[in-house]
Amino acid sequence: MSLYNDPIGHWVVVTVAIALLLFVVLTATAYTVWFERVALGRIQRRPGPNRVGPFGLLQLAADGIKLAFKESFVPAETDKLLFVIAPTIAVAAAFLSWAVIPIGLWYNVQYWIADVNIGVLLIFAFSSLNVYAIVIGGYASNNKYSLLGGLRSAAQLISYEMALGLSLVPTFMIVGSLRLRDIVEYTVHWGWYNGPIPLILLTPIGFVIYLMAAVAETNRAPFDLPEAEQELIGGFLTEYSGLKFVMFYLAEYINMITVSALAALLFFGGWYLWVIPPVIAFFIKIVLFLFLYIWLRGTFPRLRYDMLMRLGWKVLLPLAIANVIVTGIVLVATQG
Amino acid sequence: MAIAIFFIAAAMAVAGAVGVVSFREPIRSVLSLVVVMLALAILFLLLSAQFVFVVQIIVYAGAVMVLFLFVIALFGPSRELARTRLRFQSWLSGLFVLALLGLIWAMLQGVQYRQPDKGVDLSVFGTVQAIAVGLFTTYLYPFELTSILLLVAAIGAIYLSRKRIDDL
Amino acid sequence: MLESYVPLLIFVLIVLGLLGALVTLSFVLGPSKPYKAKLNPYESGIVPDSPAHRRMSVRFYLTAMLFIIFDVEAVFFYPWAVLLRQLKWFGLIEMGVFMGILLVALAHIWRKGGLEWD
Repeated sequence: MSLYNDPIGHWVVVTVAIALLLFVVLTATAYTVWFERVALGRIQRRPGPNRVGPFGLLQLAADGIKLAFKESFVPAETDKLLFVIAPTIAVAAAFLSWAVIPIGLWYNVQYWIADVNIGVLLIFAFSSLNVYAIVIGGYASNNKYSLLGGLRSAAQLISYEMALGLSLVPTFMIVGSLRLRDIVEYTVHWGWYNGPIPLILLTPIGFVIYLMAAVAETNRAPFDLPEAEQELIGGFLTEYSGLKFVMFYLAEYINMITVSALAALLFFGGWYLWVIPPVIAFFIKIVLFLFLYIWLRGTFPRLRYDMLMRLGWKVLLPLAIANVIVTGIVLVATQG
Repeated sequence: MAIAIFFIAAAMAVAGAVGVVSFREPIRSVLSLVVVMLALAILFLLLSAQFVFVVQIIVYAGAVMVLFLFVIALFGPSRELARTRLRFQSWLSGLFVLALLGLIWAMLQGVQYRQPDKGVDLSVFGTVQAIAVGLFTTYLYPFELTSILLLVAAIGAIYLSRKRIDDL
Repeated sequence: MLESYVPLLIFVLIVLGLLGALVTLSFVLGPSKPYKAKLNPYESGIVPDSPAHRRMSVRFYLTAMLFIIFDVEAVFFYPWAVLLRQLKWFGLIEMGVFMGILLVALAHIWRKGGLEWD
């Protein structure tokens, strides 16, 4: 195996690249929160944060430092270990997906951490661990609203996980690979046009299902049932404070960026956008998706829990299966 | 390095298994079992079975263990009551451990450690494509039977919980 | 093949280190002045009158069970999807049979009210 023969320098470069990626993701998370607060403010015709630093850009740094120096206590009569493990699992599950997300190419150098054959499945695997964070967080809080919120949220996550997985099957059929790089670089030969295309043209229904399932997977409005203040206080977050609360919050925003990046890679041609340099093109697409998320939150009221589960099981799941069947038939028929 | 990772993963699996039986709180036992599942996934990866590795995480750690977790969370933190003990319990358990060790030892006698077959392309071994070729040609019949198994499981689940739904 | 997973291993180790630091900081930074009322479960200011853990609806169990069934189904879909271009009609018929049986399961659950939440 070449692994043993490689000079150590290679792995130093990889380690530095990973540290850099984690730093970028963390920073991006902070600015996503800023972006959300400003955009939501504008949607509601108010200025949003604008006091700390230019355009309020340092607001998140101020909030972060404040929260870090707040007391982060563990409630009485609870399993202390589990209470601490829950936010740790949440952040780990959120970060790990970024190991297989390719960032793009720049002057013929490609940027990714791990380029593996099972690509997208690995992201599913890591994000499926998020359920533990939520159930254990709710369970260990020793609070009936936390427990109920955690269970509800977990049931929501697993219900939409299937629709999410099935919505991508047509993409895999067309490309014939699970590797994210292969999916982005999928090229068509249509008459005079030779080159990559945004796959949404071929699987529009898959994209619609993905979009809805992704919003539900990240627990964002209008599917933000775990944080239904009127019924559940703060759901599984109720008893969390200080840095442990920050960790849950961090995980939520990392997940939001992850699903935006995945949408850009799987359906909108990733880093290909006309003449715009690849990494910047990818960045623009992610920002547009994040804005879509915030726009949804600013526009739609929260669903009721039975409506949410009905949508997942009775609409999205059958629709996703039908989409797989129809795409399969069309693909095989046109291929001859 | 692969050997070091193997021993770490194997130690994780054994430690998790010990945790499953020794923790008194059921929820900690479930988490220990998750550790076992993740360690098994790593062992699959070391065997170059990348698809099985990821499926092990998605299905066992991501789905089956979640069911266990739900059941525990539904019942609340009822601690396992270990008041009643069998007579000679410790002796019996020691006997079983010895019998199991003997069984493993006997099994390992027949194992032949060998290199991969000549002509097998190791770069595609364990990939999704390679698994798919096997699953949808050679092992088609077991694959179709799986759907029957899943159907039975679905019917079983609905009848098991329906009794309760009517009670509510 | 295994080399492509080494970066993943390094990634996992770095993330674990980062998380360890965060958890430690959450105990080190900030004051620690616990008292009984603070550590009580927060129920919007009302003193809790019943324990947090009680038996929950069996629907959660049913949802998790159905999730396993359809998750296993989805796992079979991925290799099939990747290979469909080579399998052609044969692959479609194979998966048609598999999916048909599972759709029977879904229809049965639906009819028995297993998907209702009210």
